[in-house]
Amino acid sequence: MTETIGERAACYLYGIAAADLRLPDELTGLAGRPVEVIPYGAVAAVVSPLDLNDPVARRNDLIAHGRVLDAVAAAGAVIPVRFGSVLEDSSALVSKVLEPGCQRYEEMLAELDGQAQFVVSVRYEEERVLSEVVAESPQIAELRARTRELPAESTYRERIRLGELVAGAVEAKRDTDARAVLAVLEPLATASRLRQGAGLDQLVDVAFLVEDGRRAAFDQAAEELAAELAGRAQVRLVGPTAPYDFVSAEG
Amino acid sequence: MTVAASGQRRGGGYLDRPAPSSLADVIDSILDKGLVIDAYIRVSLVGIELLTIDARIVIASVDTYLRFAEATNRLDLYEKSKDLPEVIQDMSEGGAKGKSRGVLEGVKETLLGDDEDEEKEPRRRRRPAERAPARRRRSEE
Repeated sequence: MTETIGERAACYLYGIAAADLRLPDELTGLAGRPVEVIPYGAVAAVVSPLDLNDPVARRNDLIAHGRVLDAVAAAGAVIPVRFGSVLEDSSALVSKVLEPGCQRYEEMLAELDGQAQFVVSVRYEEERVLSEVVAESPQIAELRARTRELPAESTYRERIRLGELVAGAVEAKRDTDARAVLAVLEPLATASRLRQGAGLDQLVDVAFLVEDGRRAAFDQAAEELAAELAGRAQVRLVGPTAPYDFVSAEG
Repeated sequence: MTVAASGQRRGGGYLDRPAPSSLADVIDSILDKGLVIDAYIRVSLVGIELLTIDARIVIASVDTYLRFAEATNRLDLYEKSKDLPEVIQDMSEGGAKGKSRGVLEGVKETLLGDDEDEEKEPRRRRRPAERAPARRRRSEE
């Protein structure tokens, strides 16, 4: 078949799994190309053929990368490889990646085996948390009252000061709340990684590595946390996925 | 697939359980993750990553402060006679969810674009491999 990886076709590399991995049927990857495994010893590369004239940088490609890894992770342990990694052909994949790294990959896979990643994202309900901040700080309440009724142009400096104070107050609140969230979930996970976030409404964004046997308990704890925080913050649980946050760049 | 099934299992809860691979912001967060290997080509996606970095820097900017001040001033807790818990109750009952969502949500959307725009956008050209080191600054592993 012309679709599969031959001597000349470039390989897009998703991740590295155990050689006995059973790929889900009909799994397709970037550009809808079929996903295959290239075994070497006890490990195997999860790849799909890539036409080098097709630039790999679209959002769809990133989604396909994640989708393939999550599907593989559901079948067995997998080491996710950084998005956009391409080898010139299958022999380069063996000589540059599998052969030199197989021992280390085998150890990493053993450590990840029987576990999956879950990401818990907690976002403040903006109005609620801002109300708390106004109620708790006389200085913020006073500045708010002063700037609220006046035209924006005449209170530029005061409004910057107000925003700065509010940002600081939300930050402090987040430190406390994030600790409480972690205290509930961390005991149920093998490991956790705090993610840097972008939004000031973000309370905490954290990836957990959870043993399959503790998944139900973890789930339950997240559900209870969401119920407890309801109205004040929203809790989102994404997973199980491949352990993206639990492989270091250098392996 | 099991992922979708587990998302359905607990209906009516407060926990939001979306399917992982359909979410732009989740996908964005795997961009800089994973094993770095000796690859022939590593797509660097410099443009996207810089936007992500910008989104983080922008938090401590005048513009963000002004947006926070505006969001704070927009709050409707004017009735001095009511104590705060009551006011909060009123607000959460009133809904108005759409307009109150994240001060920074606009920034996030620019990172990877939203679904509708996707096919209209011209394909991004592959960046030269030598620009890849620029991405490393973000990985703090």
